[in-house]
Amino acid sequence: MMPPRKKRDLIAAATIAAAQLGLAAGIYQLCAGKAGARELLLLLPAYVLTTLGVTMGYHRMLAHRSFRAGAGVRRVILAFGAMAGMGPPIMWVTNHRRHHARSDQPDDPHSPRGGFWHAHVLWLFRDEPASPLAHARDLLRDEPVAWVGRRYHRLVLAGALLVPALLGLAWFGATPAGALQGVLWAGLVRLALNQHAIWSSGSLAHMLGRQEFKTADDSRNNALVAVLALGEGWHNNHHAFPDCAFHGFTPRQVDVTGLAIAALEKCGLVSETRPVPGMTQQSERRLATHG
Amino acid sequence: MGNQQLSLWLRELLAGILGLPVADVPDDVSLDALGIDSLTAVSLTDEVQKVLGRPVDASLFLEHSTIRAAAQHLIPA
Repeated sequence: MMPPRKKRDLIAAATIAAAQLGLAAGIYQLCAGKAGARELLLLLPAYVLTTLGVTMGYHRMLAHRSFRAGAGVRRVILAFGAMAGMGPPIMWVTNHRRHHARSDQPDDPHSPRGGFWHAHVLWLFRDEPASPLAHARDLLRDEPVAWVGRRYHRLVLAGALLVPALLGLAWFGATPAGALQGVLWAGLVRLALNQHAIWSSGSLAHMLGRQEFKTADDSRNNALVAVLALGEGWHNNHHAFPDCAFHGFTPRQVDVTGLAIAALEKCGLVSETRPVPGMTQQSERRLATHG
Repeated sequence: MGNQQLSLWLRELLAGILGLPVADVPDDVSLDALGIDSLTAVSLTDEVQKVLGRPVDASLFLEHSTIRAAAQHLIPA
């Protein structure tokens, strides 16, 4: 029997490699005029839903408990998050809480002080994983979290192959080529974009951008990452006020995840969202140069 | 709770953590082989205490390395 850590690493490496090959094929198709608006129109909603599963579900709902939702809503949001292929929810939350507890210190799982590629992706294969019982004990008895966890690999496969193939048949035409085009764009290209967007909040958003608030780490507000990762690039705001459900603090800091949370709250599907800190609270933490 | 129920409860708990189907978390394989480090194994005893409602020795999973052995130790058939 192969050691579980090695098996997990191999599955992760294969998923990442397949997604990057898909991304390369997608870029080739766009350059060669073999793909266009039709493909992008399929990609966009698939990308937004799965990225929100991570940013809204794994990150703001589970790791930081910045809003509440009922079991059914939690299950749906987390199932979309699992389809982004970033790991089962408890493992993700465990690593993320350790990142906040030790941000840019030697035992931060993904600090760019260890180099860009370490912070972006290689950390996944380097550190011994943190203990879920030390960092995510509150989630062990959370049924939607465990339900998604036990179905993690099946959700990744369904999200990358089965659902995209069906979407492709409906969207591009009921032929094998239609199904393949669906798998490429809604499956593999989408997965690669999920990965780079979320990883960028750990890498680029700790390297490039403005620091508006005093924090004990290198976190930055990076507009490019904010666009790609649906608001998660306002990362210095987030490290200064980690429990806040909204990462964009001004109208210009567009935070798609925050807008989605606000919309769900209006519909009564989520509650107790933690608001943007008041101006007094913000100014206490603001760095003098931007005061 | 019988030891088989406790065993299933532990398998479901670990499956949820590890991101595996329950079938891939057998009760006769050591926690170490499942990818559970020793620190986690020790903390796991707290969860077992809560579900059983009585104290459990912190070295439980160090002395009984599989779920089945630990469950049988706690609740002899």
